[in-house]
Amino acid sequence: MSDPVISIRGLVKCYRSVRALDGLSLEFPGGPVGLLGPNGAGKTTLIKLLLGLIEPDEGSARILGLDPSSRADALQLRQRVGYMPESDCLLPGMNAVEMVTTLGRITGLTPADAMTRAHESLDYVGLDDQRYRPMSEYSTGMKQRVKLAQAIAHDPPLLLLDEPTNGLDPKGRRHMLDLVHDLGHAQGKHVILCSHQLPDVERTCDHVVVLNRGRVIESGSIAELTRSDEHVVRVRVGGDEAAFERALAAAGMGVTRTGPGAFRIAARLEDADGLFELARASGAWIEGVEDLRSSLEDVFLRLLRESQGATR
Amino acid sequence: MTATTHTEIYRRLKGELAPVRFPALHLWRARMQVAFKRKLPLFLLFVPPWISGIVFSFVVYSKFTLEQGMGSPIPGMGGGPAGSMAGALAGQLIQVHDQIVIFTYVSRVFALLAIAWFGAGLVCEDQRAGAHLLYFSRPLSRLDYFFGHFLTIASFGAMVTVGPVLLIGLVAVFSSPDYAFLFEKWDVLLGALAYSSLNVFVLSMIALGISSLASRKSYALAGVFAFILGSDSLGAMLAGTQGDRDWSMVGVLMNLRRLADWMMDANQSRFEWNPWYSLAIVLGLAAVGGWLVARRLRRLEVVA
Repeated sequence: MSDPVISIRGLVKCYRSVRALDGLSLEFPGGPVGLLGPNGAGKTTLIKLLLGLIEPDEGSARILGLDPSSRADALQLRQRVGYMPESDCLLPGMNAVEMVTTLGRITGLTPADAMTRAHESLDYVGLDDQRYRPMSEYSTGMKQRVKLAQAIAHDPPLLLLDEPTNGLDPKGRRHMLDLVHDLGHAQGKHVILCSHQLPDVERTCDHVVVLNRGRVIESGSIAELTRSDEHVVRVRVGGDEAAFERALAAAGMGVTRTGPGAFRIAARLEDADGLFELARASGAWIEGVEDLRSSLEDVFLRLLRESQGATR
Repeated sequence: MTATTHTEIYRRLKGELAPVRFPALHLWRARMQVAFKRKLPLFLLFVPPWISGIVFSFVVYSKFTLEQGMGSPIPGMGGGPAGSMAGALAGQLIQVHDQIVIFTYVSRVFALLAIAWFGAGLVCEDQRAGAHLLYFSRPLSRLDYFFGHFLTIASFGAMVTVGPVLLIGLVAVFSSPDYAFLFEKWDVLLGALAYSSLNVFVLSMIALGISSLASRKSYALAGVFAFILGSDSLGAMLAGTQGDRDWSMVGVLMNLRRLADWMMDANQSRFEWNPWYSLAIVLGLAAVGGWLVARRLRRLEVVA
């Protein structure tokens, strides 16, 4: 694993009696990372802290080697972070080019660079001639693309994307996810993607951090998390299915028939040779074996259940 | 990602990010560009004060050039041509002084209109459009944000007050014999400029404060007019019913008028109260406006 881009130690943030972050400690690896959690989990508070907009009550954080609780570092940090907010946002009275240029200037680009980058970013997100129209006339998809364009205009190494697919139709959503995937994988950006759309995270990120009630309840690579702990394989068989099922039961393997000639068997994929032997002995043959992985949604819901069970 | 056109390719920044100096100026420039897009309000709000400024300038010019030698001699200088010329000049200087004072009275209204129109929406429209989410995720502090907006609003105020006052003053200086207006009445020029700046500062702070309380520009606009004109009406009513002109101190514009008299050494308003009270009142209002903005900006930054 690469060096952590963000390192957080014992972060606590309270809003009156509510502990939005409750001793949060975690490290974000480089690359695209999904930040998951139900409403009120502390995701937004964490982003505000990462941008240096609020100060923690306890604990510390280092982002790209900078301390966001220091005012000087926070301002420097915001030059190196691209933030795409969740809700609609635009600069009143401006079109997309003016908005991205203005924000580029405020971030530290020269006038020429700001204009060039505005056009390059808008090209990248696929906003063509519409960039000269007043933004108040934009569709949701166009607004989302402009929000992404302003976040990448200064070419920051770290991107904080808050629900980038909110309100998008399937085509727009696919386009946005393609962009996020490209930024995270082909362009080498560190992306933190906050989303309630778990398939989006699964599609674009390599790692996830799951928050609940201000605490980390899971953190790791998606490949590892979605690997079933129970080691279940899905098997399709031909021939004497009933005899095969009996043979599995006799061998003490948990088996569930899921359809004609289809079984879920508690076994490792690595132990498939044994299954082939059993099938042959019982007059059946195996047409296919595949490792049954949990979806990220299954994992997320299970983690939430466990977390809520633990706190009761 | 597969690019569907030649443009959908991510390009690296070829230049460099520099430390941002005076980000408020970038904000100011951007807001000014937006304001200059709409020509009708600019025309309606800027043409009348500048026409007034030009008319007043012409009047000042005519005082010095067309009325040369038409004055009465100064006592003690004899009735000769020198005394007559000196007397004429003294009279002209006083008349020009009066012209400048009258213009500053008039310019208060222009300043109020321009500042209310261009300033009332600044904070509330940013909040409504979610612009604060974008601004505060950049290296822009609350102070920078405030200054960016204050400079915007003050620029429009200055364009309708300080600008024409400067024009009249310059015409007075250059058309007076041997720049006599500059040497004899420099305090009036300085007072007029100081008063115009104070006028713009106070009205801008009030407009920004009300803008930070409102949820949309129309409400803020109504709030600015209601507060300023309402306070003046209340002051006038109290002064009338109580039979005491000091009650006019309740009105914002009345206080500014008292300060105009004081700073330009005139007494055309016939207000008698201590001008320091007026200064304290208008600066206090400006401070309250600043506090309201600061309070709102803290919330906006945290919401971002």
